[in-house]
Amino acid sequence: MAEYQQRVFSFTAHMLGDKAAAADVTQDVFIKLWEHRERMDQDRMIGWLLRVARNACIDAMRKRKVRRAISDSEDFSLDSLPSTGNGPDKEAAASLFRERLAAALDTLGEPHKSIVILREVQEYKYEEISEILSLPLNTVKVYLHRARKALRQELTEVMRHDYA
Amino acid sequence: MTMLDKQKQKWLDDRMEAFVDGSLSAEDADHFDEIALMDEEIKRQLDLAQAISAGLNEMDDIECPEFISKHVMAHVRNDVKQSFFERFRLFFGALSVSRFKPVLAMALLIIVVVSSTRIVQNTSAPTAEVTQALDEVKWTLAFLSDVGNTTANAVKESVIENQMVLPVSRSMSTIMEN
Repeated sequence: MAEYQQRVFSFTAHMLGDKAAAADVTQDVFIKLWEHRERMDQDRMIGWLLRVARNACIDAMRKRKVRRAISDSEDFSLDSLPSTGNGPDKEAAASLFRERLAAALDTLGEPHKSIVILREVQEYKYEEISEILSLPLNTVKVYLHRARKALRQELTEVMRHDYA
Repeated sequence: MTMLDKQKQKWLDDRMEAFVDGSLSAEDADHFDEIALMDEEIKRQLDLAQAISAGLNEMDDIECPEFISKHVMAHVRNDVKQSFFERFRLFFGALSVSRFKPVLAMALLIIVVVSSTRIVQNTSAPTAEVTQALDEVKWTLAFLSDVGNTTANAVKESVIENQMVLPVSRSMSTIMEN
């Protein structure tokens, strides 16, 4: 159960970008699990947990309606990509890139954001994501493709903005 | 954006993610790589796509705080306690409803009858141990009774005859003679 709790918390924390809110959501999700324990299929529990967590995150985001601003910190350019530079500069560039990437991730709508987190961060298989989100397999692949493209475009925009 | 640019972008989009994922065939990947080396814009976008993929993969699992399981367990314990008292309350609440009273009376009657029957059965069919204990009590009482008789006779002879019956007889004889 601790492993499931870790996965759900990590997912909600990435979805919401806020540990305190993620803790509240995770707590609610596991209380719901207790309330639905008699109808729960053990083999599909993690899928059910993540589905409930995602819905709770969407509700929380609707209530909050606050997104991390993508252009509120240091300037970012192509030269800031983590693959370029050396030593402390490289470390700083990597840190800045992660920050920008998290902000860009926050601009994605649903289900794109959930799919990116489940696939790229939590490394679930396409089939598992399809079950968690109740979406056809091909749709998951198409959404992931679009989400990656949107991330690229968002970060390209930021770079252009920083250059200007 | 010209038609040529749009076509180029579409071609690029279709292959970029597949290249980063490693899902392009070796031949297509080599071809894409060659193009990326020649085209500065494609090279930039490819670098960015690879950096995004690596950055997402490197995003750490965020550690779950311990208090979450404590809060959940506290809720579960509370729920179990409440549900026990709730069932208790509902059960006795239901019994207090007038239409259940005859059922309750009947249940009590059955309990009393069954208990009495069991007690009677136990009395009429004593076990060997009980029989033995009763025999021991009987023999003890008989012994005490025998001892009591002997003692009473001795008292009667030595005390009652000499100290009470004889003086009374003597007094009565004296009175009669006078």
